[in-house]
This record gives sequence, structure tokens and C-alpha cells, in this order.
Amino acid sequence: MIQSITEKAKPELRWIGRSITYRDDIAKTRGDLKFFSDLEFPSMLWGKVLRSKYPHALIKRMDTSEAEGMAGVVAVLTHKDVPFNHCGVVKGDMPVLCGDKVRFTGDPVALVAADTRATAENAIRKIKVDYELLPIVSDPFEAMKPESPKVHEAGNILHHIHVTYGDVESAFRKAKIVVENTYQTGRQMHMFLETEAGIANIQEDGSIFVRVGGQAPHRDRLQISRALGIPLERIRVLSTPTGGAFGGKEDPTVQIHLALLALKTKRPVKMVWSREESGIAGSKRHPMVIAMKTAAMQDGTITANQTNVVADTGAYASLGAVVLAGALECATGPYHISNADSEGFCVYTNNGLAGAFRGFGAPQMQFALESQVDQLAERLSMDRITIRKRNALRKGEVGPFGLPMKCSSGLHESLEKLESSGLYRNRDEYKASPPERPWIRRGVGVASALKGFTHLSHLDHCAASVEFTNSGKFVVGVSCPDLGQRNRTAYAQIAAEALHCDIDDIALDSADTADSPDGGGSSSSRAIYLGGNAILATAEKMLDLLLEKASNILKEPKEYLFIENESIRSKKNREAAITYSTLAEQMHRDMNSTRTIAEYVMPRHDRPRNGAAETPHTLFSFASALALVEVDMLTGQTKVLRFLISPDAGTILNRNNFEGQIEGALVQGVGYALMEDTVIEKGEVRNTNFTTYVIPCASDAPEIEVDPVEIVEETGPFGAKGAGELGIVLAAPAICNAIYDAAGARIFQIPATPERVFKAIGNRR
Amino acid sequence: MLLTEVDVITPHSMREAIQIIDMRRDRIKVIAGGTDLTIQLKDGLYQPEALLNIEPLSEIRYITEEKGVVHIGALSPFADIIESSIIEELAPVLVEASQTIGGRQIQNRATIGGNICNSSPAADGVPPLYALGAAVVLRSAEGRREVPIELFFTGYRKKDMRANEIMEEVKFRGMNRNDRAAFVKLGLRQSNAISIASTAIWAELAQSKDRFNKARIALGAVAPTVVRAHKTEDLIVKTTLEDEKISEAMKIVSTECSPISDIRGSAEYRSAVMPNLVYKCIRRIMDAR
Repeated sequence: MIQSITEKAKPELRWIGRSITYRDDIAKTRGDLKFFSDLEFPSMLWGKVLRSKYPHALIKRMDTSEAEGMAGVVAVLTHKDVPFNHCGVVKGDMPVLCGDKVRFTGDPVALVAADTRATAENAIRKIKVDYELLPIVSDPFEAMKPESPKVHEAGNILHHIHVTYGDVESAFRKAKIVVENTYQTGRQMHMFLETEAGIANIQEDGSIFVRVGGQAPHRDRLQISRALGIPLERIRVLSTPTGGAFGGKEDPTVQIHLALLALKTKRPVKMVWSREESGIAGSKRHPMVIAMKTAAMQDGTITANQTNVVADTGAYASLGAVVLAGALECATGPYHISNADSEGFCVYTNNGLAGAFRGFGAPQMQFALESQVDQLAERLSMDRITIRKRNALRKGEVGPFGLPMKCSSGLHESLEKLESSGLYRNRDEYKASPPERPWIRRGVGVASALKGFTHLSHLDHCAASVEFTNSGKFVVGVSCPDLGQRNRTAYAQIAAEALHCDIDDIALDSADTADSPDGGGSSSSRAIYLGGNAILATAEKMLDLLLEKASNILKEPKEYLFIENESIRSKKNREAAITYSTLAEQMHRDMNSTRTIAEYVMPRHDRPRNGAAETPHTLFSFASALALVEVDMLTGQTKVLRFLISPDAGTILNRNNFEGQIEGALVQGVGYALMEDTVIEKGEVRNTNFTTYVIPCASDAPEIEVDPVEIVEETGPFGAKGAGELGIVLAAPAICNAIYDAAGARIFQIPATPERVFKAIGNRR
Repeated sequence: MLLTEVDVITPHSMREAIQIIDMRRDRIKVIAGGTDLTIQLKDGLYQPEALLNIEPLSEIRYITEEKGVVHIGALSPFADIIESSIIEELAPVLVEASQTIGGRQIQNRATIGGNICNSSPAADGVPPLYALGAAVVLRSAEGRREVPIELFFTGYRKKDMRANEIMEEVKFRGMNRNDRAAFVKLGLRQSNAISIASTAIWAELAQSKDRFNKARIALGAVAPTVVRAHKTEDLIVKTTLEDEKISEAMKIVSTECSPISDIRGSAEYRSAVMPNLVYKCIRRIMDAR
């Protein structure tokens, strides 16, 4: 079953540290694996959403009669058909189907189920909706004014955070140097290969089964349960495999709509958003305007930082408040800064919807901070790595929001790796322009970052189950779906290690509410840390169960027993041994319990910051990177040639998959840095598909070298931390600092499109 | 509109295709590779009753050379052009441009005729054809008609093509030993990009170094159609091309553009960057000798 294993395991360990290719990897590579958008059932219907044409309007009247009368149309649903018309990841401010008002172009208004996709598409056109247009609010700063049109009755400020510590004013007065700038970031779109999609059907007992590309099946089940007024036990949600998510499948998209249509029609219903629909109605990364003032002493010690940020969350809350908190906790970055004042607003507008996106506020803020640090180094004539080393946060020092860093930090070691690299030591050679293209300038950029992992907003926890099968093997259940990040491979490695068995003897449940206990979803780089710790906890219980039984059978005291090669043996009696398979037969014959469930619960801060959504995180990964870019001085076009990244994400469980996460995030970060921005004009998305919304392709991907620092995090499973977001946090600051090094042009707004870089070159002093 | 609502008529020969288009005229739309048209149909840009699918008409898929004149059948996909030894020898600039059009999948499907007939000012196949002084050959029930490519485009997405005509081929005189040409394009990423601006330049070199006898400069995506930069051409021919001279000439380039702002770039940027693309292109030609 396991396709290939390369590299040795960590000392004393059998599976941890190996680059294992797991069961479904080959099927995925070959295109054999079926995603939910590939599934078809007999008598299946196609569901389609009618979406608002206007960014802000009252619904005066709706007429569905013509659509209902069409041949092939089986159901037409409106807000009247939704028992509890509220949904949303954190705050239930989204209607399942809009009844009285629409708040963005793309807001769902009605649903159709028809026997073909084409009929469903035609039918939604036949639904007549009379709107009364309302004035729109598209600028978040305007939105904050009391006289602005209100997206929601309670006002346009969704969330406000203000955290201050130390003596900021006096630190600015005493500083040798103060740098003050305003930065702007783009509205990145997730652009997963599989758009929002799923398929729902009614099972024999009348319960609803929803297969959906989502990030948290148990939470999706809860949302469906609330909206439909149906008990949780009557709903099953399955979410593996999902064709990419990156945070964009946290919000309810097709889940509730599918359940409504399946329940109404009693037939299987499938929905697959078109690429354009995904572009209009899917969530995006929060664009932010960040004003930042940073002070340093002559020796490079950063003494104070003041930040003001405004984030545009669009029409609904989604995870906006928490993204704001995630951004603000990064205002001081991976540095120990004793005096800071960080304030931010997350604001409603009629600009689509912003929510979670890989990085979760950290990429925006650390683009700003790392640009500031670069300018401090320049003004102080300091080496760019030296200034970062001087301020690099160590465990126990004052970190985000003025609280001591509780987590391991390998930032110093990471910066030392950059410092001794060929790319940095020989940077002058790398920077030489190609003689045949004298208009090219090359530069090397430095950036450091931290990224909190696990949920920050509440008590985070994860449960896992282990079943001992009657053949002496194990089935492991964790509800964090595989979105392409291969967390399931790590789960198998952790379980096999903890249960002292061959990795082929581990089977995994598929992030299914019917099998896996509620351990939350795959997001915020939590799946390995929490899922892994939960597996360790439940494996411990399972081993206890097995040793107990073996002790009875072998008549040997439990404390003499040990496990070796799927057998339980006694240290005292060489004859006493029982294999897992014999033990399993015996346990099943005796009708013993063979399933354990255990939970890992995150420690909380002793003193969480008021109003900061229980930030900062208690856990952080760190990284530093060098980017080598070339800038075409005649056009402003930037090409990223090389990346050297040195991440500290604790122990690496699987090097291949680890590098896959780091590299994937870096290339997505190249898009964020140079090209990606969802343009919304007067509430209308201008670039909804791959023709106009440009993402990096193979020729934009730089050569990437991953040189990790492996510092064991004592609380992590085998010492591991979260790794999925580091790359995207570092990309933009490293690239923009490299553009400055190359062209002398400072970038204050990303994406750094050719046009913006061209202008910045023109504006050089 | 939904593509399932459109009839597709597939003729067996050019003759049959001409008969059908003669009867249905404006109500039918010719489809070849469909890389532009299918998207435009989905967006509702056109609402034809039917599509005339000329894809199987191999009689207009050819690349030949006769007495120094290169003929490219309208149905030739860019992949054919990229792989053609005739084009490589007589118009390498067209290979260069074709390689920047989409990825391999698009190059396999998209045809030169479709690229021309779509009449987008950002079509990367067109500036090289301007630079080469090409003409298109149109066929209808009345016979054949030849139109110089610069006269073929009459405005934004407008062309001199009658409702009963189908493009048969594009032709141009192949490059001589003293001819040089180059293509430079600016997009939002390194490949698979639609042009923000582009330029193709053809020049006949004089005997002495850094001197052009004749030149044709085509500018893409900076006007309603691809345009010639006649004034700039006049400044760079029959003169020694020292750096200062080129810089002088580049000041005129912007005056030959009338760009718009769109999702890829502003009008100001296009006007400002175009001279630099032309400069790079001239440098490429001069460095190639």
C-alpha cells in the first residue's frame, strides 16, 4: 500500500522523519482519484444559485413561477424555505438565502434543482427579482464614518482591537531613527483547482449525507443542522478529498444549499461553482491599509512600533475579526520589542467577502514590518541580517502583544543559515547584470517572519480515535480533511510510531462525521500539531488497553511488558509473547472494547489581551528567507530567480511533504507579491477567472532551496510545529526588499505589478 | 449564453463551408480552435444561431513557400508555425511570437486565422504580420480577395471582412539575408500571459554597421488595432543608430499610441512603457547581426 519510503527515520524512531509516499498520492498524481465534483449518482439533480446582480439593494419582490414551471426543474427555493436563515463561521450574519436585502454582488438569492446543469442555469435566469438599489460603500475608511450607508444595521465596524504596552512615546523620543510609512495589500483569491463543490443525498433512514470540499466537516454539519433545524445526528458530512482550500473553504458555500435541495427533492443533488461564480462569491484575503511607525537605537535594537490597520472584510463577518487579530499580533513580528501600540479595525463594505486565507493576517502585517526593518537597517548602515539577529525573539522573551514567547524559536539559527549561505556571502556576484540585457538589475532581499498556529480565537482542541481491528491492525480517525497538504500521511506515521506497528497496518478514516470524533478542521496550520497530539493521546489509551489484556492472557504483570514488532513481550519471561493479531482475535472473542478516543486540549494564556480575540497564539513557527530577483528597469517587470528559506517548524515528520508545503506556499506568495489582486469596482469583481486573474505558472516559480532548522518543540507531536503558512508570509517582504536592493525602488503596495514597480522606479530619489 | 443552445455545423470542404456561410451570413459564426470564441460565447459577446466548425478543413491548414512568398493556411495552429522549418528560416519572428501565445495546449488549438479574425489589438500573432508586411486572403462565393493586414483591421474588434467570407490564408514575403526582425512582449507573468503591450519590428540592414535601410514597427495593445509607428520608423532609418539617436526616436513612440486602461494596465503606463519595448526590440535587432 505504501508506495515508497526514502530517507532514514529519526534516531530511535521507525517512521518519523521519513519521506513516505502514501496511499492516495499516486492516484492523485495519475488523475485517478475522484473528488466530489467528479461524482455522479443515478437520478442526480444539479443545483444552481441565483446571485444578486447588485452590490447593495433591497429585495422588493421575487417571482419564481416561471422557473418552477420549466420542464426539468424539480425545485426552486427562496429564503422562505430556510428554517433558520443565518450562517457564518464565527458570527451568523450571512443569510443562507437573502430575503430582504443583498449586501454584495453575488449574494445568494434563490436556489434551483433541475435534471441537467443547463436547465438549472436557464431556470435561475427565469427568476424575477425586483430590487431597490441602495448607495454602496466600497472604501473601508469611508465605511467607518457614521454617515456612511450601513451594510449591517449595527454599523460598519465589525471589530476593533487596540493593544498597547511599554512606553511607546518615550521610546520614539529616545530613538536614533524612526521610520514611518503606509502600506497597502491586495485582495488575493484562493484559486484552488477544485471550486466550491459537493454532492448531497438522503440516506435510507431519511438522514442527510453531504460530501463537500470543506475544511471542517463537524463545523459544516453544525451549520447545516442550525439552518435546517435538523439534529446533528441526522446529518453526515464527509470532506476528504478536497481539491485545495487555503482557507477559502472555511465559510459555508454549497453545504447548506445542497442539504436544503436534497431534503426538498429527496434526490441526490450536486453543485459545482463555476470559476466565475467562485471569483464573485468566494471569500478572499483581506486587503489592508497599514500605517506603521518603527523606532530603533544606533545598535539596531528596535525599541518601539506603532501600527494602525484597517481591513476590508466585505459584506459579512466571516473570520474577519480573527484575521484582524492574527494580523495585529504580527505587528512586532518575530522580534522582541518592548514598547508597542497596535490598533486595528475590521470593516464591512459592499466589496464581496473576505475571510480566511493561508497566512491569516500575517502576510499583510509582516510585509509592512519587514519593509520597515529593511529601511531601519539602511538608515543605520547596518547589515540586513545583523539587524534581524539583534532583535530576533527567543523563547521566554517579550513577544507578540507583549507576552512572553512560550514556544521554541529557531529564528537565530535560521538567520545564521542565511548569513553563511553562498547566496548571501556571494551576493555581489549573483547581483551582476547580464551583459546582453543591461536594463536588468538584480537584488537580494531578506525577510524574517513568525506565524502563529492552531486557532487563536478560542480554546482549541482535537480529538482522535483508534480502533483495534480483529486482524490486529488499527483504524485512526481524525476529522481534519486532506486538502492536498497530506496531513494523513503524517497521521499514519505518527500512529504507526506510537502504536509500534508497520505503517501499512494503519488505516485512516476520511474526515467523516460518521467515523471521526470532532477534532476540528484543517486550518491555521493546526492539523499536524493538534491531530498528531490527539493521535498520541488516543494511542496511549489504546496501548494501555492492549497491555492490560496481554497481561491477563500472559499472566505477566503489566509493568514487565513491552512492545516489539507488533508483539507484546515480557522482559522477565522470554516465552511470554503475544502478537497483535492473536491479541485481537482474543479481544474480539471476549467482546472487549477495542476503540479509544482521546482529546488534546491546548493550553491557554494566563492573561489573554482584552478584545484581542484571545490572541496572541501560544505557538509560533519561525522562518527567514532570501530572495534573488531581477527587475527590468525598462518595464518594471520582476522575476524571482531564487529563494533560500530556512524554516523552524520543529521536527520534520516527512521531508518531502514538508518541502511541498513550504514551496507551495512560497509560490502562492510570489503571486501575492507580484500579481494577484481581485479588483472590485463599484461592487463588481473585474477579474473572476484565470484569463484576467493572473496567478504564477511554472515559469514564475523560482528555484527554491529549503534549509530547515529543526528545533524540537517540547509540546509538539515528536517535536513538530505547523509549517503550512510560513512560505506565504515570507514571500512578499523578501521579494519587495529584493526589488529595493535591485532597483532602489521601495514598494509600498502589493502586488508589485510591473506598472507599480515602473512607477516606483520613476519616483526614486 | 449556454453553448448547449448553439447548433454546430461541420462542413466537409471549403466549398461547402462557403456555401453555408453564404446562406446564413450574420447568423452564423465561424469557429476554428475556439480558444477565444468559446469564452466570448459564454460571456454573451456574440449570440449566433449556429457555429460553422471549420476545424476539420485540412485544405486550409498548410505552410508553404513559393518564390520567396510564405503562405500560411488560416487553420494552421501556432504549434504548426512553431515547428515549421519554412517559418524558422523565413520569418523566425513569427515563431518567437507564437511561442508566447498561451501554453502548449493553447498553441495546439489556437489558429493563426482565429488570432487574426478575433481582431484583438492584443493578439500576439498580429504585430509580426504587420512587421512582415503581410496580407490576408479572404474567400467567398464571389471568389478571393486580398487585403493588406494593416487595412484589414478597421477599429476595435472591427475588420474588413464580409458576412459571407472565410479567411483562407495569410501571406508575406519571406525575410532576406539582410533582414532582421524581433518581437518583445510585456505581460503580467513570465509566460501564458496576455500582452499589456507588445511590439514587432522588421528591418532591412544597410551595409554599414547600425544602419537600417527600411523598417516597419508594429505596436500591439496600445490602440484600437495593432498600429504601425510610421513616424518612429522614419527617424530610425537611413541614419546611424547611436544611443542618442535611438533615444531621440523613442520620444516619438508614445505619440503613436492611443491606449486605454484595463485590468492589465493603465493607459499612462502603456504609453510610458511602449518606447522602452521598442528600444529593447531595436537593440535585439542590432545585437543579432
